[in-house]
Amino acid sequence: MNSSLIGVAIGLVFIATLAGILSVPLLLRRQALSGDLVAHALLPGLVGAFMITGIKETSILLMGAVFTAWIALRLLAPLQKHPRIKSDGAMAVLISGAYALGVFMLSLLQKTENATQAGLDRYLLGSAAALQWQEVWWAVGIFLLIVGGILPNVSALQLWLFDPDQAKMRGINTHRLERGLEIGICLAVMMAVQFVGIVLAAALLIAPALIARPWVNSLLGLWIGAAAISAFAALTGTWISFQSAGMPTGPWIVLSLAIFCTISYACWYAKRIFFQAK
Amino acid sequence: MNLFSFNSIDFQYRQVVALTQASGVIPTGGITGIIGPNGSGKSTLLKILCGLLKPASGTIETQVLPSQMAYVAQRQTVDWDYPATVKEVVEMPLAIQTPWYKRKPQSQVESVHQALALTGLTDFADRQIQALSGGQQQRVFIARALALNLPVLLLDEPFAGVDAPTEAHLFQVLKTVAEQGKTVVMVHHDLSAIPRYFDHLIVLKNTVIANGPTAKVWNPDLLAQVFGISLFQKSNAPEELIP
Amino acid sequence: MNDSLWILTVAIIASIACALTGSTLIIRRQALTADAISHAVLPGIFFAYSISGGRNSFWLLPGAAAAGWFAAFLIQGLQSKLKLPSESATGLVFTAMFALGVVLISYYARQVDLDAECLLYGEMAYIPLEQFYLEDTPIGPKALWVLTPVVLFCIITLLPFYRYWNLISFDSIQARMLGYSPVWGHQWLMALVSWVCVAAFQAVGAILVVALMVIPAQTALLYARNLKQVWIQATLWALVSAIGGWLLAELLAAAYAASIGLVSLVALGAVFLFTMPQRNT
Repeated sequence: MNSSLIGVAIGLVFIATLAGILSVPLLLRRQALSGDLVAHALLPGLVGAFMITGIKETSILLMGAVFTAWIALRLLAPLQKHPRIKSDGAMAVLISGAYALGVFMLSLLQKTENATQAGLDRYLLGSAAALQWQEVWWAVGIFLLIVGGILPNVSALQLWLFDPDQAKMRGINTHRLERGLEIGICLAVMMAVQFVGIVLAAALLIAPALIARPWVNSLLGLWIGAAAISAFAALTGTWISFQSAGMPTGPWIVLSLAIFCTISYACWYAKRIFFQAK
Repeated sequence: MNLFSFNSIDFQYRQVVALTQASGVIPTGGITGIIGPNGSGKSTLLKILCGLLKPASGTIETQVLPSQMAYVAQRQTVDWDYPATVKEVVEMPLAIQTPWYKRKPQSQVESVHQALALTGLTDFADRQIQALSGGQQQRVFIARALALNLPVLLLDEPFAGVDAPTEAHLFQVLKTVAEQGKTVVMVHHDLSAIPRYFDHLIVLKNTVIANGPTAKVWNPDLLAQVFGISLFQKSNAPEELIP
Repeated sequence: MNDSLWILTVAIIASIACALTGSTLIIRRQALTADAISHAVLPGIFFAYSISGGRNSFWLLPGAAAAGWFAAFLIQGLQSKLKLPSESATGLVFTAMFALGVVLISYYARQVDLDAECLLYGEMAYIPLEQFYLEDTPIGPKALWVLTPVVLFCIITLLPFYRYWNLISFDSIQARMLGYSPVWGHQWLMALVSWVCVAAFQAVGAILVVALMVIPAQTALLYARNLKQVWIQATLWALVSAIGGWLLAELLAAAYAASIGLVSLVALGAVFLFTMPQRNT
């Protein structure tokens, strides 16, 4: 019991922290719901990878999932080229459409092997408690991969997030940065979904940056703040959920984030009123 | 009798003060311009006059009810990709006054037809608003206000982003309408043609700097004071100066 | 009546309700609200089930409306008072409320007879099994009895008031000037969306409600010339999806709801390619 708690906590901290770091560029680019889109669009790729290869191994499933998720992300812009499609419509259509496709494929599997479907099922709702150490190592690995991708590009990212046109003019390869960010989100959400489920994964990529935003003004500060907040929320959520049997961990992490968000903005609002009165 | 008379109006959006102790009058009839630099509270004043906003303090006296005022907002307040034809937009305020089980009255059809003709939109009646240029969109907004046939028209920057021929045409429309006895109040965003356009002026810089007939109020020193620039150089545009 | 035909009937009724509410949302650029509310109603459903002690569906509608309103109100408040970007506010609110719902259901699992998984991606095959009984005679699936009043509400409050909905959706400022409050319409629409979500949950599950709301509506919007046309065309596309999806599911023994969602997506893709303006224009 103890080692599984530690394993879960470690995995969750790495995943949440990674998601928190990625939530910052998403907030600055006003693409907060990209995480939600990716979470839902993972499903068809996940099921498809299994259908094609017959192997239920994390690496294969991950590749398939990331593939369809990335395609969905890339479809946002072309869809909005139509004069009657707006950003919210494109997002809603892709989220629900990709998910429907995934559930459809999943149901096709159902008539062949029941046990198999149950295994893929856990990706939908997420299950922290049932996780193996293998997934934890994947989480750590992906965390190191993405942070390793961010660190050498920090200054380029800084300019790009602040002023994309200026970045282009300075010769920064903004395409590479965008693709990198997209892949990073797909990988991070893929891991997050296994722990907290499809619906809640989005929260990990929205809340942390929001919570840090009123208190920090620099990009680096936002990153550090968001990372710290996510890690703390992961620990808090895990701890709370283990207090009572049958309590799901993922939702408690999200609720922790929601509570932190409320505290953060309540304090900010109070501070503003206090200084206004002076 | 002044159409609008307002006293010590204060208004702020969160931390930003838009209007402070603004007082002035707008006479009945003719074309009144509300001018001033960016952020001087022009749109805010207009919205307060037609009842869309309530001032934090101060009083307003109006000789007509808001239901007798046609308000033309800035163009970007509307999503122009909305599915609708030019005619449908122009008749929208009239159509809603007819219950769904009744046919549209002939007078309403006439008003719409006339408004479209006045603004040069007759050929565009069945075009989707999505397919319109900025100038055409502005015509639609004005046609919609005209179709209502109300005694007072309030317009917020109707010539912003509109090309010169369209502006000239639309101004003619407003002038005709004013000559028919309606009152036109207009927020204008630039300094050109002010003496030609407006019979009366309110010069605003969060408070009313000047208010009255253009002939009395408009001069280069005022400009320099309000806008912080000196527009008139020695050899320039003598016809812009008030004789 | 044949089980399969009951499923088809429910699918058709649900698609009409979803199409009407979804198209009204999408022309108001509130497509993501459908997604948000469909998740946010979960705590409302929980409270309804816990108050009524189980299977009584009466409390579902008020519970759903309350949760939906609260979510919409919170999202709007976060945007206007705290200046949060709309996507961030939406995502934060609905995930938090959904998380709350899951936690409540898990904790009170013994007292409350709810299956979270079923809620998420619903199983239409169970519809005929849950019938209302009048003196031991089944009089139709429960899903149908909850959906029918909801769809009637949608039809009665949307269609005859076309001019009102058109005005407040196109230009809310003008609406206010004319004395028509856009707020009433907005609140009523949020309630309708919440009711459709909860009524269709048992039938098609959470995310597929969103698919039926948004996808046929967007398809219609690609070429419709006014709101009336959007309503009609969206309903037609939703019906096509419902019937086509049902057929597909019968053929391939796939899940009904997902098949319907898939068909609607394919239809959208086809119309999109057909109506996409040429590059040279």
